[in-house]
Amino acid sequence: MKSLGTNVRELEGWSCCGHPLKGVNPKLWLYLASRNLSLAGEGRLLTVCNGCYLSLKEAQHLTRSSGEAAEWVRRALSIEGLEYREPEILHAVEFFYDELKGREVARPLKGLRLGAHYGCHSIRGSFEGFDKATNPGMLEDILAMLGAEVVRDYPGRLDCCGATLMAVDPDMGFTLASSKIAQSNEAGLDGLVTPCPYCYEMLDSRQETLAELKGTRPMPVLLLQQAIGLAQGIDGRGLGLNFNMSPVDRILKGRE
Amino acid sequence: MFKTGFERPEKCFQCGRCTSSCTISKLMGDYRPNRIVGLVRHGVPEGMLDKIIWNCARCMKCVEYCPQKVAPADLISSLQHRAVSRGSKFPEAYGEMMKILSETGMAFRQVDVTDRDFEVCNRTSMGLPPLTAGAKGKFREIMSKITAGEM
Repeated sequence: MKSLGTNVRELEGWSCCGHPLKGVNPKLWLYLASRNLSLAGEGRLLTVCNGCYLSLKEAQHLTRSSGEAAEWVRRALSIEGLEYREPEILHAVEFFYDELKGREVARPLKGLRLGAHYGCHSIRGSFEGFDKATNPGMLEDILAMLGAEVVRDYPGRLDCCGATLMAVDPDMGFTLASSKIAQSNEAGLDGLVTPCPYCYEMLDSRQETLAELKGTRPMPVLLLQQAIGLAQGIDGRGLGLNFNMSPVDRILKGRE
Repeated sequence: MFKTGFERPEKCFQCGRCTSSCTISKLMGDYRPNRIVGLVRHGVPEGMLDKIIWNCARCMKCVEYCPQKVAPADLISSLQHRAVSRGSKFPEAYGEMMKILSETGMAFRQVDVTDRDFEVCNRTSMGLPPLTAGAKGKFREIMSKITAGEM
């Protein structure tokens, strides 16, 4: 963020957006999501998580379309002295797309064949999103702005990473993650880039398990911010690449 | 209880696009969103779907591809809530998450992480300020009232 000269502050007093608990307790979800919106006030609220993005957008959509829901939200928030507010909810992809447009990066990701993994909740839902749900392109556009060789389509590009299933049926979650990695290997990618921390955890941090259980060949996975940072010339440690469990050293090789 | 999803099962004409796009249907043949919608429309006995509804991956493909804006994933989410309200069993991980949420305001606990060089790291060791998130005062009270069904 600093390398792009943008001014982003932590939302004071934020909490979980409620997304994972929507099925178990939808009122708790609506309260948590609306509370975060209200704390942000009328400014711009940047979400760096797909789950949060969907959750906040859905809560806003619901409050706009249902008087009953809006009334309940207002009452619940007022106990804490908060007023319901509607910030502009921004997804990391649309935010960085605007920030990077027309800008030159310090160290282009030349020669790297990268593919985009959007993650379900950044593109699909009952509301108008920032990109076309069935054929989005903004994340690929960002990778192109970073100087990478972008693979605009590969089998399973818009598929689910399986993370939600970890709470219910881990083996099925692993099957989905493995299929995603296998397809990106078949497409000859040097790496996958995702804006979602949930997908990132599923696709990056579980590769050892995937290799053991499903025989999946490893594939470097980067969080979107890490890919941008690399192109801005920030070193691996500064980007937390020492926390990636996928073989990101392949990407770093020849760049140091 | 007001409606919290955007489902419209009454609009379904059983075209099956939800099922042909469904992530889980490809792995579990007996999991079919169009059938779930159809059963609900025609009055499925309470409890009959209590187990299968937790298999949804929430990939939202059914929501996106439905020509009638039925939003099957939202219907499934509402069915999950109805099952929980009836006291039916739900995945343990969510119970644990509720507990952590009520204590910390977050869905997951902050934990130390070991990096590639086997160094154990946390926010303090990396020179990061503590998070401002938390479950304090009235916020905590409201959460526990909602969880207890008093609101």
